[in-house]
Amino acid sequence: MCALPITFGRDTGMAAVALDDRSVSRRHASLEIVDNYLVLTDLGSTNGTYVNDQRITRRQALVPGDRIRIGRYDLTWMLIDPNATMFVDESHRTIYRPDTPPDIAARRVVQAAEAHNRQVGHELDGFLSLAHGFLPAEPPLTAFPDSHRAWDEMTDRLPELFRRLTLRRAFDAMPVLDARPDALPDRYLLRASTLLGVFAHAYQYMAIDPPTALPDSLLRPWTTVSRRLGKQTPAVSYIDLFFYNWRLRDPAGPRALDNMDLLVPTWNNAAERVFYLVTTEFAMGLTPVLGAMLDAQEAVVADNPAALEGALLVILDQLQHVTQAIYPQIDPNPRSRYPLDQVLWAKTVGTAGVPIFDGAPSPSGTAQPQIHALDAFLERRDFGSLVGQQSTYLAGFFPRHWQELVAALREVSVRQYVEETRSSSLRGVYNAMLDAYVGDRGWMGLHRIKAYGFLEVAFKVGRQVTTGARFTGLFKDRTWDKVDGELAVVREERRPPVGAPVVFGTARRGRVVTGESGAWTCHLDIDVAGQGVHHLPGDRVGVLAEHEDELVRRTVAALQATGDELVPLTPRWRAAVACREGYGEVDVLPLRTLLRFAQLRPIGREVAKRLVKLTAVGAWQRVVDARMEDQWELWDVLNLLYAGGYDVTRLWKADAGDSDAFCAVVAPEPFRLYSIASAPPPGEPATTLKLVVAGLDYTSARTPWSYPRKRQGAASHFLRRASLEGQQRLSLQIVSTPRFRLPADPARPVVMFAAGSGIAPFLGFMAARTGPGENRLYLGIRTPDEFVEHTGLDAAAAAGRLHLAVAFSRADAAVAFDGRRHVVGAGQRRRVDEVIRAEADALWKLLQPAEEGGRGAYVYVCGSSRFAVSVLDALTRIVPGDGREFLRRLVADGRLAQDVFTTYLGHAQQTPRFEVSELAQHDTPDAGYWMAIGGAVIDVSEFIHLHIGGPHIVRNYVGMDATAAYRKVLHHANAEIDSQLSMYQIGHLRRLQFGARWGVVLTEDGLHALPLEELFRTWVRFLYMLVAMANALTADYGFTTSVATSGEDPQELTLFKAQYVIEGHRRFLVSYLDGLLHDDLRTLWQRTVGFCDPQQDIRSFDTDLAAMSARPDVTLVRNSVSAVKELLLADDDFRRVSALCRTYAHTDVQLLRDLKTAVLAGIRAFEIHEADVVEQAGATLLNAVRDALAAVSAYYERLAGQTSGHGITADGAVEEAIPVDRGLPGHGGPLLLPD
Amino acid sequence: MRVSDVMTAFPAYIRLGATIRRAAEVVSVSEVGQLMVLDHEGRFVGSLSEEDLVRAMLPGFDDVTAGGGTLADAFRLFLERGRTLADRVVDPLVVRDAATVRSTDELARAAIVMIDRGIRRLPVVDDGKLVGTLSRADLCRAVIYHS
Repeated sequence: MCALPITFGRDTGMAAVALDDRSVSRRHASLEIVDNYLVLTDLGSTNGTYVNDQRITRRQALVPGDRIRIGRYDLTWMLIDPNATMFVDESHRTIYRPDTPPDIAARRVVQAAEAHNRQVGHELDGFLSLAHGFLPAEPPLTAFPDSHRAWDEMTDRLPELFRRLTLRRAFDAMPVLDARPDALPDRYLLRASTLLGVFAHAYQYMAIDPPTALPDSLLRPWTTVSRRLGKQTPAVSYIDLFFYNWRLRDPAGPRALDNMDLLVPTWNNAAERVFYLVTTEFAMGLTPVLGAMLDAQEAVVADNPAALEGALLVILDQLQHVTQAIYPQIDPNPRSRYPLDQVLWAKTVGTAGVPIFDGAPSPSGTAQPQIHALDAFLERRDFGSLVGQQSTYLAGFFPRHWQELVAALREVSVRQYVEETRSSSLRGVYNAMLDAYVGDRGWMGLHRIKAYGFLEVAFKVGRQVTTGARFTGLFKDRTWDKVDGELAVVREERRPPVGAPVVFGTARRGRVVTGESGAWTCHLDIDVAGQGVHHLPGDRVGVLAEHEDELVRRTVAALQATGDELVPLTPRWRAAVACREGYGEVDVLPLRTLLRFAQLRPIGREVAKRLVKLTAVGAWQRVVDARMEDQWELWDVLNLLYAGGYDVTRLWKADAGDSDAFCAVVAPEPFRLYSIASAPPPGEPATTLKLVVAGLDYTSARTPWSYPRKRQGAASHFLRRASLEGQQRLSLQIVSTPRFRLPADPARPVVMFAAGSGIAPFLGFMAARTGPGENRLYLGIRTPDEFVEHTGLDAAAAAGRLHLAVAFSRADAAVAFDGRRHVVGAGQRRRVDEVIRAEADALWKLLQPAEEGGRGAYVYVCGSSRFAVSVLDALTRIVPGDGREFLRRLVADGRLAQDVFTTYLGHAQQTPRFEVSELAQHDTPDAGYWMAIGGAVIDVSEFIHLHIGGPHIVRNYVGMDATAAYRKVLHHANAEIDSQLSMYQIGHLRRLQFGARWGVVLTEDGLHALPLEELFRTWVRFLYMLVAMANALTADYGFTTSVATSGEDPQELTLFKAQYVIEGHRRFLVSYLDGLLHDDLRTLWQRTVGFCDPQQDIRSFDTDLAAMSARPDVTLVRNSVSAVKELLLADDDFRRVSALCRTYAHTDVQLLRDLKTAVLAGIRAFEIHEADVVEQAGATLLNAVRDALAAVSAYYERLAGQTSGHGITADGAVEEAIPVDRGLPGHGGPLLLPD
Repeated sequence: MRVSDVMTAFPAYIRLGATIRRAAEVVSVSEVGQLMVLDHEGRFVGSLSEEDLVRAMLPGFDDVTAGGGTLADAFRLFLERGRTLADRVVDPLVVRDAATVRSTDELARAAIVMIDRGIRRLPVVDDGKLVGTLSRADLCRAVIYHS
C-alpha cells in the first residue's frame, strides 16, 4: 500500500518507489488523486510511460483495469473507495504493485483470466478481474440486435402480464427465435441467458400451479443458450439472476443501489428491486477482497508480516463495510429508505429462482463465488452439512475461471503462517477478519438472523420452497427452524481461528470517583499496543472477569472441598479457559482456579433450572418457580441445597460427562461488555482502550424466596481491583456495534444523551469528531462530586465544537464553560428530560430532517433503560405534530441509536401481574400488542414500529409467548438488545398454582397419569397456536394491499393477488384447520375428558368430527376451492371471484377469533380456580372444547352459504391434494427436461 | 462379599403352566414383588413381576373404545380383565431374558446391574438352577446395616 501522491523513478533518493531498470528515468512518473480521479503524470521521462500499451503525453486519469507500464515494470493498482472503509488510512487507500512474475497460483489464475477475457472479447468463461472482482468488466448489454428484438420487447411487459395473469398466453404467442451461434453471436449469450431464464421462470411461477411444459418460444432458445454456456440442463444461475441482471441509470455513475435498475424485472416491485440489486451491490462491495486475498498469500510466500497485516485489514474492512453498510439496505422497516416487505418477498421473489427442471442447480446464496473464494482462502475443509453439500454441488457449475481460482486459493495457507509467526498483532487482525466473516455480528451471523426472519415470515404465509431447500408441513412444524438449524451448522464449519479469539491487554492504574451516595465509577485505561486492535468509535469491548479470593473461598467451603481438587473441563469450558492468558489448552483445573473463572453471581435461569432437576430440593424449586433465583449467588444456593439433603460434593466428584459435573452445571464467566471511551486515529490500531465502569453494589430483596444481603457486580469490582493494582492482564474481545455509529458525513450535527457512566461511548465519539459538525452532549448525574473533567471535552468546547449540558438530579448545581474548562457552579437541580423540554426549540431545529429545513442531526442515547425511556419520551414532545411518528422515522433513517444497559435494582416480582388470558387478547392494533418473553410481559405496540427486523416478525408473536423465538435469534445473548426489553416491560405473567394435582387420561398410548399443570399447559399451547395462526393469517391476507407489480393501485385486488388469496384459503383449510382439529383440539379433548368426565365416551369427538366432515356444506367448501381457481385462471367473471376472495379472508380470520373466544373461557376457568378447576369448573372446560368444535361447524355452514350464493358448485370437483414433499435439498422442480 | 453370603436362599417361585391366579396368590402371600419362574424340570426360565400383572389388567386404547369409550368403562374393564386373566396361564407374561447373577459373583456387580436396569430383585442362578434371589433390601441390610 502506498500514500499518494507518489513518484516512480530509478533514483532511490528522488523517487518514493524505486524501479531498478536502466530504461527508467530518475524521476519518471507520478501518481496522485485529483478531484476523485487517480491521475498518472509522465514527468518528462526519456522512454515514456504507457497505459494499456499507449504512451501517455503528459497527464492521464486512470480507470479501474488500466495497466501501467514503466520500463520493464508492469504496474497494477487498486483503489479502495473512501466511503467503504473505516480502518484503512486515507493516505493508504491506493495499492500498487509491480507486475513481477506471480509467485502464487491464485494470482496466475486472475491474470490469465483477465488476459483471456480481453483477448476473446467476452466473459463467458467467468467474470474475474482485480478491477471488478466476480462481476462483469463490461456492464450488462441492454439490447439485442434487431433479429432478437422480440425478446427485448418482452422485458418491460412482465409486471403487467403478471398482474393480469396473462403472461403464459403472451409467451405462447412469442415467435421461436434462433439462438444458434450463426444467429446470436457469443457476446449476446449472457444477456440471452438472463432474459430467457427470467422469462422461463416467470412462465413457470406466474400461477401457483405449474404449467405442464414450457412453450417452444422459451424452451428451445433457452436450451440452446444454456448448452452454449456449458449448462446441460437450462437453469437460472447466480450470474443470470444477480451478476448480469442490472443496469446503471447514469452510466458514468457508481455501481450502487441508488444508480441501478434491474435489467429484466419480473414484478418490478420494491422487494424484487431491493433484494436483487443489494445482493449485486454486496458482491460489488467485496471486489477489493479478491486483490487483498492475493496480496495476503503473496505476503505469506514473501515472508512479509507487515504486508500480510495490511492485506488482512483490507479484507476485514471490506467485510465490515458490506455487512454493516450494504447488506442492511435490505430493510424490512416500512419507513426505511428501501423498505422490503417480507410477505411481498415471500409471495414473489422468494420462490422465483427455484429451478424448473429436475436436478438443475439453483441460484441459491451458496452459489456466490465470493463465498467460495473466501472459504478457500480461510481453508474451510468441512462441507458435511446439508447446505455444505449443496454448496459443493453448486460450485461444480461455476464457469472455468471461478473454479480455477477457488482451487488456486487453497494452495497457500495464511492461517498456518499467522499461527507460526506468533505475532499477536497479526493474530488479532486475522481473528477479527474471521469474526467479521462468520462471527455472530459478522456477515454469516447477520445473514442467519436476517434469513431467519425472512424464512419465518415466508413459511407462515405459505412459501414451501427455498432456493436452497424444500420443506413442507403443518403450521406447527416450524419448518423454518430446521432451515435455521442448517445455517447454524454451516457457520461452524467455517470457523478455523488462530488460537483463541481473544486479545490481551494490561490494565493501567486508574481512578475511582465516589459520590456522596457511595456509588462509585472507575476510569480505567487498558494497554493494547501491538495486539492488532482495530475498532471504531462506539464499539464495545468484552472483558472476562475473575472473582476475588473471598467469593472463591466461600464457594469452595460451600462445596465442602479444599479447592485443590482437579476438575475435568467440558468442551465449552475448555474454549472459555483458552481465552485466559497463560492457560492455552488445558483439560483439568484445580477447583479453586475453576471457581475464579465461573459464573458464580448472580444465578442464571438455566443454572437454576439445572439445579432443580439435579437436586429436587423443594425450597430451591419454590425460589425458581417464583423467578427469584437472581437474588442468589452460587455459594448460598449450595448451602441451601446441602441443607435440603443434596450431596454438594457430587459437583466436583462427578466425571466430566455426567450431568451433575460442575462444568456441566455452571457456565464460565462470559465476556461482559463495556463501551469504549476512546478512539484510535483513523487507520491505526488502538494502543489504549479507555473504560468508564460504574460500580454495581446492591442488596438482595427480602421476600419469601430470598433474604437481604449485600451483593456486588462481578465485572465492575474486578475492573476496580485491576485499576488499583495496575498490572492485571485482561482477556478482551472487541465487539463491533454497527447500530451505534457516527454519521458518515462529518458535517452532520450530533446530539448525545448520557446518564452516569453512559458518557463512555461519547468520549470516544468526541475523540473522533474533529470535523466541522456540531456536537451536543446532555449528561445526567446525581451530584457535583460525580462530575469528572475530561480534557477531550474541554478541548472540544474550547474549539467551539461541543456544547455540554450537565443536569444534576440531587444537587442545586450547574456546569459552565469558562473558556478553558468546564466548572461546577451554582444552579438548579433537574433531570435531562427537563433540560430537553427547556431547549425544545433549539433541539427541534437540529433534529428536523434536512429536507424539511432542519439540520438532520443524529441522536444517541446511552444509559439505563429508565433513562432511555425518559429521554425518548421527552423527545417526542419537542416535535410539533406526531412525536411518536417522528421517532419512528428517526429510527428508520438510522438517525437514532441507543446503547441501553440494565442496572440491577429490583426484580420482576415487584411489577404488576398479568394472566395468560389478558396476554392473548392483546394482539390487535386497537387492544395494543403484548408479548411474553421469559415470563415478563412486554408491550410492543410502539416497538413494533422500531424493530430492526421489521414489523412482521414482531406481529407474528403478539398475544403469546415469544421466548423461544426471541432466544432462537440470540437476542437474549446480545446485551445491547436484551437490555432494551426492560424499556417496554409492563409486568410479568402470573404463575398458577396447581399443587400436586393429577388425573388419568386415555390416549392412543393407553392410560396415563397426567399432572393438572400439564393439562393447563396443553390449553395454553392450544391458545397460543390459535393466536399465532391468526397473526400469520393477518400477514398472509395483508398481501392483498401491497404493490405486488409495479404500477398497480395497492387497494385493487388484481388477478395475481387474488390467486394468493385462494391459495391462502386452501392452505388455511389443509395446513391450519385440519391439523388444529384432528391433532390439537382432539388431544385437548381427550385430556380434558380424562380429568373432568369419566362418563364421557372419548370417541364422541371423533364421531362429531366425522359427522361434520361428511356434511354436504363441508364438502362444498373444501371441493369448491379448485373450481374458484379455475374461474380465476379463465379470467371469467372476475367480480364473482374477487367477492369470494374477500369472503375467504374475512371468514377465515373470524373463525380463529371465534375459536379463541371459546378457548379463553376454559383458560379463565383455570385462572380462577387453579388447583380446584376440575371440581369447580370441569363442565366449563368440556363446554369450551365443544364450543370450539361448534365454531368450526358454523364456519363451514356460513362459508357454504356464501359459496353457493355466488353460484359455485363443487360438481365433480375434488379437493386438491398437497403435493408430496420430495425431501430433496431443492435442486430442481418436478419437471423433467424433454429430450 | 459374595452374592451367596447375602441372598435369600428360598425364593418365591412358580412353574410354567401355573395360572395367573396362583401367581397373584404367591405374590400376595410372600409379599415379594418379583416371582421366579421354573420349567417342569425345575430349571430357571425367567421372572414374573407384580408390575407386569397389573399392567396386563390395564386396558389399552382400543380395548376401552371397544368397551364403551369412557374412563368409567376403562376402570370397569380393568376389573373385568383381572377376572379374565385369573384363569389364564402365566407363560405369556414371563420375562425370559432376565438378567441373572451367580452365587459367587461380587455383590457390587449385582448392585450395578440392578441400579442401571431398574431391577428390584435379581435371580441367582448357578448352571441353570435357581439357588436364590437378591433384592435391594438384601443389599442394604448386608452392606450398610451389618457393616
